[in-house]
Amino acid sequence: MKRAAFLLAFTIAGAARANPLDTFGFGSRGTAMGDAQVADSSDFSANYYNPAGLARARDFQIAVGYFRATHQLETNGQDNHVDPVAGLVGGLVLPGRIFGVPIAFGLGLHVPDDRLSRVRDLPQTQPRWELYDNRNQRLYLAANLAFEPLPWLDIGGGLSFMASTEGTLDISGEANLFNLYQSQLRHQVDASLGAIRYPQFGARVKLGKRAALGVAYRGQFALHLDLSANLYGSLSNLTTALYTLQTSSVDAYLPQQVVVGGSFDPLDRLKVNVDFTWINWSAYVTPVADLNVNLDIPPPAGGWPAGLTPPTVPAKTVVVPLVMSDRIVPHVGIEWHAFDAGKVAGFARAGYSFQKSPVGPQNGITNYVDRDRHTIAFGFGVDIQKPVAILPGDLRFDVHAQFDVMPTATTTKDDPADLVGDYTAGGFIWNLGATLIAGFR
Amino acid sequence: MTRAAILLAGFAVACSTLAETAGGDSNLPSAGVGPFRKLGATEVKGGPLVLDDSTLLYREPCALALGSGTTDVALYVVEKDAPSGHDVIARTRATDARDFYGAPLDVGHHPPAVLASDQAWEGPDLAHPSAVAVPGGVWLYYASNGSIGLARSTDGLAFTKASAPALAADASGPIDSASVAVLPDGTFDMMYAQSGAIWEATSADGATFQRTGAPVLEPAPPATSLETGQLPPFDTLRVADPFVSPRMTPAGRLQIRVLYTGYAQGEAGVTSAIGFAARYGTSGALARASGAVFAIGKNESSPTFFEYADGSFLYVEEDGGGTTGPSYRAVGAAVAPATLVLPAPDPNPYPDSP
Repeated sequence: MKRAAFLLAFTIAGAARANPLDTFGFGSRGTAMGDAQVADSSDFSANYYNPAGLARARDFQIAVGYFRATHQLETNGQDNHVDPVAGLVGGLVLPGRIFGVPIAFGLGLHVPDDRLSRVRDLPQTQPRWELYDNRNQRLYLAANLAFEPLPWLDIGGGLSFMASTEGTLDISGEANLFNLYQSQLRHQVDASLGAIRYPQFGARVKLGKRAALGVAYRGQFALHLDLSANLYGSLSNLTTALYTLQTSSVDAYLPQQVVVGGSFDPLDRLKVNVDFTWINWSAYVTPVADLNVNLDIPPPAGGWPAGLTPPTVPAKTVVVPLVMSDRIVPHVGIEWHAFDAGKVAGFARAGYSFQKSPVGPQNGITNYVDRDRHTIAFGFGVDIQKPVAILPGDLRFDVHAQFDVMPTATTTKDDPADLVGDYTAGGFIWNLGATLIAGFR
Repeated sequence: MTRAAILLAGFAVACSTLAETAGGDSNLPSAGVGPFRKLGATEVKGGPLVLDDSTLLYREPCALALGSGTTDVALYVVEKDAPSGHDVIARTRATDARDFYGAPLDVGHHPPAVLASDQAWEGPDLAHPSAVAVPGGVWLYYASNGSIGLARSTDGLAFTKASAPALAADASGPIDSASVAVLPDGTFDMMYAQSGAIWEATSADGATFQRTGAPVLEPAPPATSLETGQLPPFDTLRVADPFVSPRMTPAGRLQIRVLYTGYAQGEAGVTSAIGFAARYGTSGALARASGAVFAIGKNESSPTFFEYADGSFLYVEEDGGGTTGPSYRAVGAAVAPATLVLPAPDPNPYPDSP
């Protein structure tokens, strides 16, 4: 029953390569500031950006938000219809003190709209937007603990959880070799959704009242996809075939990351954040399945009918490694305290980041499509102190718009007889969203 | 604990997590030459063969796209002329690329002959049509008596032949078949099959061709060793029936694409399959793709294809009949990408004219 429930809530459709927050940020404030948050975040978004920031919270916070990222990723000028990423974001921060030391517990969550997890094993020759196609179709959960051992130092850490999958496909019945449309086959899918954990931790150092430095580490993880298929049945009553297939692949791989950055207030109403993220893309695991196939088809008593050739076990795929390069991604964000009218304060934000594509040249048989990515973001926020009597804290409402530009570039093939051939690729991603944070004193 | 948390989150959104079919696979880049999927019986009215007649024996198709990006296509085929018993070239047409004028269920029609043997240099049979769209009409190349002839037309139906071959047989032996295409610079490029290999000839005007020298594609060398399950090369015996289709790649490079029939000596006799070879630029040998792009075990041969907005259609000569009567040759079709889902044919899908 439990598995059946999962099956309803989840589809085996398509390869996650990491987590959606790396691409679209966590919460509208951070996203609007170009994800330059390692030395600045102190709300629920610190669960992703830097757990140490949780220790700065003085109010119990509950946050809920939503975003939708729409892809317009094209090859040869035609939209490949990469699925949008959309879903709830949220979390909480629970501050307190132990032996006089400020501490906080935080929880962060992203729940996709359309599916909790998505898996896909594609032939290595098939073109796919490697970092966007399935990468972000995934549930994310993080739990962290932070404390402030010294007035100028925050330290935090915890675990993030991602969904992983294993499943079995059974097919049985009769295959009509002379008229495939009259085949009677029954299918049964059994899949289970598990979890994998990876660590994250960080620190934040205050440098006076106007500056802070931060550092965060996010661990790597690999989501393994294990699938098996069993086919058993009659071939036109001539003989009985047994076919078993077992595949094992890394369906999702998130490289480890180190983020260092600073947050500065050069003016009373202006905040400037700068982060640099090192991403260990060179450790990326090639997403091609290792197949083990067994085929047992005894010949019919009178031999095979004329024109029928029994299938044979295909040769093992020679996997061409996906070569990727480590990248340092700069992020810049600014926040302007635009107005302060009594209990209401307003903020305007903007940000930029750039990631040079880590994917190596695709001039061979593989087609892991990717392009350099410029991310431009902006947003607004309103903070209302004590909005109603039952909420003696504050209420913050933030919106964001993130626009990714992936300039079109050409991939050429060394082999003129390549069945995919030369292609151009590029496109855009729009990410819009909002977040509401309620703080309780 | 972890599973419980994920389960809780899953149920929290279960009402909205009945996923749609996953995307990301639309409009993927392709060289347009397969691998191809044979059309199913329900994809062609009266299918799966598109031209099937045990008397007329349709063979050696050549496709000519009649629109840009559409499925409107003409097919020039060899058929048996009933009165004379000789092979002539006929023309048919389909608006959906599958249901052709004169197909078995298009009662009362059959593809009309547009070219028959009547020149002094020709033999009694014509073979291997190759249609080329030129400004103001269609030029039709054909094989006869070991040479390649040319006929010109303004409407694709009424042709006037040139009196001399465009490329005559030489000491290397008869030319079995040829395919001609116009390159972006306006010159004509011919690939022809002779002595088990594919050769090339070029022409500035399309009327007379000059051979370029060495073969551009020869039979593949036999495999020295095979991994378990690895298929041997399908074209070690000979290569034939070239169909040439140049294009400018999205990178702006001229790519000469050639589909061909590859033959190999199997344990049960000679087998055939459709292969793909190509090169960049106007000269040089062709590089072959590592496997067949279409292989169905029906002695498929004489490939031709055209591209439209959603993919490519391949037509081949293959074995027809067989289950209730003697086998004979007919024309079948296939489509790429193999995942392409074709709509069901209209109730009356046949065009009114060829």
